[in-house]
Amino acid sequence: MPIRGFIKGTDKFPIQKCAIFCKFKEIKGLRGGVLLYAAQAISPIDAEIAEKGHLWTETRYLVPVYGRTGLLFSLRNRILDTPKMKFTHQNYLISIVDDETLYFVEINSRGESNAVYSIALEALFVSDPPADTIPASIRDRKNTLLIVPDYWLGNSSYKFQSRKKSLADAFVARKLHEQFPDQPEIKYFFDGTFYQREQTEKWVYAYFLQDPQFFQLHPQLAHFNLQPHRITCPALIWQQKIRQEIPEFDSGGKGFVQLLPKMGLLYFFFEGNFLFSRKIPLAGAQLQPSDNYDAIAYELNQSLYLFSQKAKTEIDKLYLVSHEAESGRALSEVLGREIHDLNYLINGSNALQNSATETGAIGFLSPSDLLPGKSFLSLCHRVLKKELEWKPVQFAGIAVGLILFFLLGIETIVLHKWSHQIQLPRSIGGNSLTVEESHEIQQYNEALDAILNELERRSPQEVLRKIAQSLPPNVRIQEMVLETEDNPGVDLKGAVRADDPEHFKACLSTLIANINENFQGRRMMTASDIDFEVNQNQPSQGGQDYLINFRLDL
Amino acid sequence: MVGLVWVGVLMIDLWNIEKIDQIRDIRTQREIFLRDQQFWNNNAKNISQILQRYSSFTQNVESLKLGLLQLENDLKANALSLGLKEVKFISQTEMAGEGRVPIKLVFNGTFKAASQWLDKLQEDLPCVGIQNIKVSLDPLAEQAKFQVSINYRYNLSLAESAV
Repeated sequence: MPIRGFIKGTDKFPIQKCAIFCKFKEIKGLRGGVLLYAAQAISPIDAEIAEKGHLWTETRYLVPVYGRTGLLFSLRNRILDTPKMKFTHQNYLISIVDDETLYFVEINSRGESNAVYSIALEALFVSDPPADTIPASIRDRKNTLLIVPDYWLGNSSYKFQSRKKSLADAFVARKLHEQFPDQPEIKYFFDGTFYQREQTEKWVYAYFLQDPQFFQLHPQLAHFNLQPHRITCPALIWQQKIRQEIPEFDSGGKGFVQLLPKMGLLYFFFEGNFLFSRKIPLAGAQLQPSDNYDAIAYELNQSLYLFSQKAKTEIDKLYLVSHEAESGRALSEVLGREIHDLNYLINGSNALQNSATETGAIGFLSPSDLLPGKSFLSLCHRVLKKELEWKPVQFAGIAVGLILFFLLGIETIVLHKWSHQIQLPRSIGGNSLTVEESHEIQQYNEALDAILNELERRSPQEVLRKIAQSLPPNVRIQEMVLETEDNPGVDLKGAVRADDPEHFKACLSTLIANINENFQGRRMMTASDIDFEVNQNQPSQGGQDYLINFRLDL
Repeated sequence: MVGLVWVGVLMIDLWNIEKIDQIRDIRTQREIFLRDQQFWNNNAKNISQILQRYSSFTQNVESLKLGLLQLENDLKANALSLGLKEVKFISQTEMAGEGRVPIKLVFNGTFKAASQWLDKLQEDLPCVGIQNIKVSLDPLAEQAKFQVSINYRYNLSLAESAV
């Protein structure tokens, strides 16, 4: 009885009942010691478990599986009697959508994987799903990668001359909006790369999520805080993997065949960019292998025709990875053209031997191909992408902030201790000043300034005496104003009686010489500082009166 | 989270700056105090002399009117003793400032007498500051006419008022 028969109609798998799984270990007749999948063909065992353990009630839930290698691809089957893997390295959670089911897988940097949970998409696509739809051990974890079926991703190439990413993004967003008016969310899930055709033509290769199921799945993942940090499909991972090995992969049309035991996967690339893929179910062991090759060849020819229509060119090379060493030669004979064997890409990878017996979503890709550090084209919700881009900056900000906080904290402690060591003047003991003494010292400066000002000021009586001494005998004061405070100086008006101008001049010279002698330490007075006029009103006897007027700054 | 950390950093930084300012103030006060103490120990006598002289620049009076009356009396007595004539004392209380009253003195006399009077004024009444002196000389008169503007500095002594 197929296991799906048991899974259908189940609701919940009680994770806490882990003890139940001990029964699996006790079941006899299971083969393999590493990663043993209970194939659908081993129905009696499933039936036995279902009856004894009452595991499957409504929804499909998987027993936590531990495998040394390979991914779930056969997670639709259960793993029985496998020793629990002890992860010593950091575990990353990835999610894979295949066959209408969402799988959660833990992988680590050593290439070990551990499928932990699965749920039918149908069960997830309900409005307001209950909290225990996803087990608590998975919720809120960092979902590093979501692998969706190839057909969930669309792609288009546009001629675009600029190499500015922001311009290209705006251009692609506009194109997608026109192409998918019913999917407004598509603007968050696209990206593009630039490439060149025929030396001169510049193109942008846009890839985007287009399947409506994705736009149902993503909000539900976000609801459980499992928003994927990267979203990709197997074709894009293979694209990068092959490109690294084959330099000419980026030119012309290339085909890639992945031959799994129960499935053939055809990928087509143009100028190194993924164009489309085909998934061909195979008959397995029930038919002759040659029948499978015929089926593959038929589908391949159909796809080559489709490719030539899409890309306006032919496939120039076909590559193959297969679970059988002879597949390349056999398929080459059926197809009538050379097929390049790429099995060395997967040789040494344990994925090969597991996938050799099972079919799955990502075929021969090994867990190490899916680690966060691996480079391949992927998408991310644009808002989340920005958040992730800013995360290092935030981290650096927090780190620098914490370092500063720590250093400033030390400074605070030092300052606190220091401030306690420094005593205020009042608390200094010994022969300290009294309040009155302190007050007197404060007054002292003021007093000293006032006294010095007083001393510096010229004494008015001294100025009067010196002016009197400076005047020659024939000079008579009429009016004199002596300023001592704001703008110290003397304004003098007087009269000089002289016999003639020469005599007047001599009198002025004497006056100036006397003043300069008596008032030293100031600008020297000159004849130009003295204004004069002839007194016209005086009676003309005994000489002429000259009225003089000058200011003497002190 | 980043904001929270940096707000914390900012707050602790501001707190430290405040603390540093406090410490600096305390140190400054302490330094000033210690220097004052040293200065006082070395110059206590000089300080008291300076302060005494400074205090003589203002006259303690019970009331302004009494102070002016006493000043007028002293000034006139001095002037008359030196032979100065027609001494007028004009107090300009409407232009008075805080602790300061402008006064105008008008008298006639010789340069010599005026000079002696100013000497005596400066010696006996340090509370009087001379602002300006205007001298006018009539050619026919023997003596000059002096207009002296002075500032009378006073201090209302409440203790003395109470007594």
